This record gives sequence, structure tokens and C-alpha cells, in this order.
Amino acid sequence: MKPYFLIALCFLALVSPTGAADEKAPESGAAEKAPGFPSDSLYQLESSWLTQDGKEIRLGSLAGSPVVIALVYTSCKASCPLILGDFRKIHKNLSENASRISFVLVSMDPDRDTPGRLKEFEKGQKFPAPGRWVLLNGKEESVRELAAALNVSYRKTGKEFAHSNVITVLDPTGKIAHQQPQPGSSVQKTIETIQGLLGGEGKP
Amino acid sequence: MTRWIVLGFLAALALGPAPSVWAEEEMAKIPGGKFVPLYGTNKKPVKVKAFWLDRRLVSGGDFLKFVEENPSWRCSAVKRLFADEGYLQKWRGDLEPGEADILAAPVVQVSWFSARAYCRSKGKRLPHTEEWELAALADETRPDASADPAFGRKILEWYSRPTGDKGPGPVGSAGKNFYGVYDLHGLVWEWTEDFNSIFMTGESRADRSPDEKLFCGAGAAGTADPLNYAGYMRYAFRSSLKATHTVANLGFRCARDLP
Repeated sequence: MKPYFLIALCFLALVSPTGAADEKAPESGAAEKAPGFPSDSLYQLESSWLTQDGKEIRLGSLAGSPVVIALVYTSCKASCPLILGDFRKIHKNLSENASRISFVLVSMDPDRDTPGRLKEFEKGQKFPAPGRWVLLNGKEESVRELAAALNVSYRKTGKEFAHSNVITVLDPTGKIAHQQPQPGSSVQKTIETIQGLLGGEGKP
Repeated sequence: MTRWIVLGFLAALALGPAPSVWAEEEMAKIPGGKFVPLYGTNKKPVKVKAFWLDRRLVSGGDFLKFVEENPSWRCSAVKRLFADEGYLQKWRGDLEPGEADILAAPVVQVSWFSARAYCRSKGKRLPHTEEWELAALADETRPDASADPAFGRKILEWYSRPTGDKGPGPVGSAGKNFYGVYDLHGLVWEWTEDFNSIFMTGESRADRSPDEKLFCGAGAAGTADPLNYAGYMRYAFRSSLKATHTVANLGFRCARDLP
């Protein structure tokens, strides 16, 4: 009979008393790590990234202004140019306020798109409003995580990637304000969303 | 006295298979291999490198320990970015799963983010879809039973059975396969690291990898193996998920690279 008794005791000790005690313990961990960002903010992600200038950043450092963000890769010839085309369109339409928007391109090909290569890509593209464009290189697992948070799917197929072409607008706190599923047709809605966000901040 | 016997019995159930039953190391080495994944339209086999895979699904009891040690993953604390409102919803409290069978059963109603955080806390990771699919080709006696229609039928039979209110049965109850991995089929669906690698793009003109063949019209007819409806269902299910989703019959196990 004894073994059963002991097992039963272990079981009781394991389940009830500890449970009751710990439940009321104040929760701290995550709240301290990401102060101020809403619970569903993309800036809850703690991954670190390298910019095209080799500077290490967390996504949270983009907070404070609206962000347009998409996943691309520099050797992409098919749909990425369309995404970049929409980024330019957004910039052109908001040119007055473009200095208050961050344009963020995250590489889904981190092995080949090193910060150096991203820098070259940036130069080659001659983006308007230099300084507002952030090209990011991260670990593969960080890219996968960011993609998941943005509901972007991608898969490497040989040297290329099959990927969804979502363009996302983040509000100044990192919450998703709008997602444009495809480049092209619906860019106007994206522009309006950003206009709304800028308006909400008040003009300088 | 009878009460203690009953309690003891419950405890044995609740704690799941005692460590002595699981004396083998907790992970199985899955030798590398090639297989033709379902999404391929060119029937080109993909190569999977050898890896370690948890023999067992993560149980409610395992996950309880994890949230005890990691307060930010408790139900009341989890960030909305990482899990929807259904997260651990069947648990009575943050550290109180409730019935003993919840401890013994695979943990469900966990998001991809939380599954990943769990594996990371063990120095592991989620298996990649191709790794999982390779390991899941095995039945009890063969590393690749995919050519056997009976194997596919058995899996489909499970898919057609609803989980029911009581949730899935205990970890280990659906049997082990050729590699000594339990419950790859028959208990719950499982998260994979790259569950979001298959996509539906709608009208993308530039999309040169038409995964929509997996989904539209003739369904599996355009896929690499039209007879593999079970695989088709898994890919379709994964593609329907968002990383924050919590589902009553979706759990996970962890994997690891070879050293």
C-alpha cells in the first residue's frame, strides 16, 4: 500500500498547493522587457537585427512613427520589385510627410543578404528620402518569427523564395494598422491609412 | 485505504508514463532521407538532414512546469501578439490545468509562439515541416509506409474522428512508430517551425510557385501525390493557421539538430 500512498502524496504536492500559491505571485518578466508597447504590438518581438549600415537594432527602436514594412530579398526579380514600387508610390504620395515614415524592408534571405549586400542594394535602388529606409538582416529564426507575426508565408525553393507579398503598416506603437495583401491595386488604402496615422499625431 | 489506491492510480495516470517507462532517451534520432513533399509540382525529392525528434508530445504537465518557470507565458500574462484569447483556455487557472487527464494529455490550445518558446527553454526547436513529414512517413514497422494504402486510410480515419469534449487521450496512447516516436498520427495535429511556408496568394501574377494547386478546384489533383489525401489535409490545415491561433487539437513536440 505504501507506494500508492507516496505517489498520491507526490501528486497532491505537485498539483494543488504550489498551484494555489504561485498563481497570485505578481507577473513581471515580459512586462519589464517591453515597457509601454501594447500587448499586440509587433515591438513585443525581442529579436535583434542588423541594418544596412551594420547597426544592431530591435524592432522597438522604430516606435514613434508609422512604419511601412514588407519581407523581400535582393535577388528577387518577380514580385519584390512590385512591392518596392508600392513603397515608392507611398513615399511619393506622402512626400510632405515622408520624413516622418519609416520604410522597412526585411530580407527573407539572411544568408545572402548580408548588411553589406543590403547597403549595395539600397544604393542601387536610389530610394527617395535616404535615411528613412531601413533594410534588415536577421537570423533565420527571427525572420520566421517576424513573418509569422505579420502573417507572411514564405519558402525557399532553390535560390528563390515563394512568398506572400503583404505590405503592412504599423502605427507608432507597433500595432498593425493595415495590411495590403498584394502590391498594386489597393495601395491607395495603404496611403490613406498612413495619412490617418500622421494626422492623428498632429502636424509639426 | 481504498481512497489512497484510487488516488495513487489517478496519480500514476496523471503523471503519465513514469520515468522508468520512458527510460530510453527522450529523443529519437531520425536518419536523414529524401521524400517528395506534397507541395512540389516537379516531383523533385527534398533532402532532409538527420535530426533528433522528441519521442513524446509535450504534455499538459510538461507545459505546466514551463509556465511555472516562465511567468510571461501564463494564460493571464501572455501578450496578444503571441497568442489569441483561446490560449490554455481549458485550464482552470494560470497554474491549475484542472483534471488529471489534462496533465497527461498533449498540451493543446497553445500558439506557435508559445510552442516555440517552450522548445527554446529546453535548448530545442520546433521541427521543420519537412522533418516532421519525413518522420511521419513511418508506421510501426517501416520507415516509409506511404506506398501502403492501408497506412493512409488509418490516418484519414483518425482525421475524420472529432476530438470530443474530453480532449485528446494521454501522451503515448496512439502508439509508436518505426523510429520509436509516439503519436505522430492519432492524437493531435502538431505545430512546425515553418508552418507558414505554404501560402495562398490569390491573384499574384508574379507568383511562380503555385501552391494554390493544393487548395483549389480539383484539390489534391495537382500535387505530387494525388493519393496522399492525409498529407494534403495536413498542408491545408497548416496553411490555414496563424501563429497566434490556439486550437483544441493542435499540440507540438520539439526537435534538435544533430550535434
